[in-house]
Amino acid sequence: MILQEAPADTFNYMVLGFAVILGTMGLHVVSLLARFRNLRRDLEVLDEVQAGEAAGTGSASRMRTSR
Amino acid sequence: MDPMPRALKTLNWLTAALFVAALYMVFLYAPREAVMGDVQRVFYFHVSAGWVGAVAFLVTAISGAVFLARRDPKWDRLAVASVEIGMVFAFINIVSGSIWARPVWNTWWTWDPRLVTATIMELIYLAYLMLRQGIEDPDRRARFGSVYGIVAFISVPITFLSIRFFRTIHPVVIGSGDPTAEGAFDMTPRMLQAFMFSLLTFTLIYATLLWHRVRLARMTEHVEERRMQLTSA
Amino acid sequence: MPEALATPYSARRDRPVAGYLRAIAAIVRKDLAAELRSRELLGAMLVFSLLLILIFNFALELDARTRQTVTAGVLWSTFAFAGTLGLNRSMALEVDRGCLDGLLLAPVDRSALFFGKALGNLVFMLLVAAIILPAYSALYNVNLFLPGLMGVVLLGSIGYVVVGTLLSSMAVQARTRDILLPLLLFPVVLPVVIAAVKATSGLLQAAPPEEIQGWINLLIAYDVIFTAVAFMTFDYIVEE
Repeated sequence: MILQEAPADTFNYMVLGFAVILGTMGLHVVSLLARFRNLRRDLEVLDEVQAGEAAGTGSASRMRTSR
Repeated sequence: MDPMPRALKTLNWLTAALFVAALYMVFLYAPREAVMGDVQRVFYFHVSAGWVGAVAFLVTAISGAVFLARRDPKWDRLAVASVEIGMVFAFINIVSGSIWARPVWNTWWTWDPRLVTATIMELIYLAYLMLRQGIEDPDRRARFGSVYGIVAFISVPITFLSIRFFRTIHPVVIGSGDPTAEGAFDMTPRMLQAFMFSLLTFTLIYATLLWHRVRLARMTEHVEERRMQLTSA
Repeated sequence: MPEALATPYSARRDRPVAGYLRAIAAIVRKDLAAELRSRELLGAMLVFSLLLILIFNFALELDARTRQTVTAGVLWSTFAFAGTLGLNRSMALEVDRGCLDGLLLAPVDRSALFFGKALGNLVFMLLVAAIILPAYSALYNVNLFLPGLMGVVLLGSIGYVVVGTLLSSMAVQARTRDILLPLLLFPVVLPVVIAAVKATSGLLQAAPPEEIQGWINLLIAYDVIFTAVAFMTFDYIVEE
């Protein structure tokens, strides 16, 4: 009968490997989400400023009239 | 800025579902490899990530060529988006390959043609980004990026072949003498299925991330335009 | 302005190939003439190469035994690094002196510009090789004057210079022009370095001819492919 060796115990390396794979993918997705959120916030700020200007109370329109 | 299209939302869910299924296949469905043990399971995602890195690079090259022909900036946006995703997955490919090599060949690095080519690809991506960073004019930036993307992509298969030819003459002492074998093991049918499924899943992950990244680029430009309008008003 | 480009357009239109070749020759002649006067490019490349060989001498223990295996690598590393100096300088001079704009105004095909610059760069590189090879031979008592070796130096230099000229025409227009060229160039030109080193090493150690032929074929393939790519993409770099 041929004795078969048990497979090597490489469980820890597997964990490390998947930690890197899933961790990197996760970080990338998080970075995308963060960048989207920042942009949406920027858009909100821009909207506010524009609304303020339209109402005639924005600093930009004040600058225009004072010239 | 238009909201997420329904197709993309569907794609999100589909990709997430496939990913969960792939995890099941890799951890539970595929058997444990007889010699290497559990670490072999890293192989499924390691190769898939490498595949995504290569596909992303191809997309960048083609996108650049189309930009040079049509001059529509959306093609350049696609090229840059693809580079970012390609860099992430090429990195995953390299590091997971290293982690797989350690217990199998008792070394963190094997001068295997595929691993070396993946590293060179990553360095080319970096050079691509540095080239773009150094150019002020947006049209010139896009043109140069396109040219370098094409030139660099063409060099990659040639580099791979030269390293492989190099290895047939100088077989590395570690590992098997066959330079084309990367951690040779026989794949049972279940392993093959897990492998193919991982490839499919990662391809879809790439497409999903690419779409999101392109939307991000469009949104960024939109915000820039609004900001310009406001400050010049 | 070189006389070739001042000939009446009708004359050039009747014999387009001759006009094209004359334009290339004019650019090469301009570069060589300028270099003959100032000698700053060749001088810098030569001194740099000799310094590199000096450094390698101490860094790599080039004793009689290891010399055989390491000579090819030392030579091509030297060529690769000195080459970037030449490429950078050559293109920077063009842009800084405004020559590039002048050349672009001339009614010649843009690719003639590319081939002119590339040929000029090739001449410089071969001149440097012509001095470095005898110097190395003398310093280390290695016979480098094999005809095959000359062929490898030529093929390798062609591949290097074709890609280098293309990429330096982009790098020179960036803010980080000096460090950018090596970063762009080296990953792309790696097959040339690998093939040239292996072919040179094979010739020096009398390896089996099929092996050497394989590397030479690779060099030729690389040269052909990238000359074609450069020809097709150079227009997009210099259009303004």
